[in-house]
Amino acid sequence: MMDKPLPHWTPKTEPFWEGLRAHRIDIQQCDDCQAWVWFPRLHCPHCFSQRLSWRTVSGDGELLTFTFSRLPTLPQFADELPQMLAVVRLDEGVHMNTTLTGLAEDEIKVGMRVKPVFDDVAPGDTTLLRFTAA
Amino acid sequence: MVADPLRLLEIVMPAVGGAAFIVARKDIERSNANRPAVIRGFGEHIQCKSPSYADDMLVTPIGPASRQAFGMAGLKPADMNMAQVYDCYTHGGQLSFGQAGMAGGASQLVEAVQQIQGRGGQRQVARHDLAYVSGTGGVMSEQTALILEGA
Repeated sequence: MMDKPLPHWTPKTEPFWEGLRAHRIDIQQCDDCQAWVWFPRLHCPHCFSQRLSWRTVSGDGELLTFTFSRLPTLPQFADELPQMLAVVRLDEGVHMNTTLTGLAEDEIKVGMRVKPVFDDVAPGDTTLLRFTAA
Repeated sequence: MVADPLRLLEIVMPAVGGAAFIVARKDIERSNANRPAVIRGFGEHIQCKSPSYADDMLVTPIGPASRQAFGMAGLKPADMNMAQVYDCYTHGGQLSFGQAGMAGGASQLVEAVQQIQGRGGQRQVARHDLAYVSGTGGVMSEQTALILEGA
């Protein structure tokens, strides 16, 4: 099996990836307008405040949309077909691009409740955030 | 099936190509051998980084972009003689002729100008004074609209 591409950390996104390694979901919240912010940023997209704090959330949410990719998005994912590509809305309201795991195709419905799965793809180094049925 | 519900023949074909057009002051374009197309209105709207982050994926930026363009032109959609729609998944869009890489966004504009000039050949529409042109960029989250009128 070819090496799969792994996320590239940046100073801005590092707290998120550090959290996942500890099987914790940390996302940003604006100190001024309290809006939840995903993906990691320097400014709040709602009020433009630069005062954003990292906070731990449960990762519970619902499935907003999904597709099954029958062709691999990259050759390295040929062993994962179909790729279950999804957008999940966390209960805090933010949308996350992700993949579903541990589910048969006919079990997956828009609007279903989901919970996080911490996938230690490179143990001790990189953990991916995936989702499955709650 | 490529990605549910899209099958192979429902996905725009990548093609190699290019496009070019010249934008000039009105006094210059009067010397053009062909009928000029005047920009009556334009609009642009950027919603978010990708549709994943839209509050509602079915409410796209082409609405605000088009309203801006029509408002600038003082015209309404029913006034248009043609619509050149950037769309990768319909035959009115790019399924019928492919997407020429980064030049794909100009295909609709070039076609609108050729129609306005009466140079559409077998594709020529009967009434060709006013054209609506749409464009999509980024990851389907950044859209533009143009209203063109034959001079």
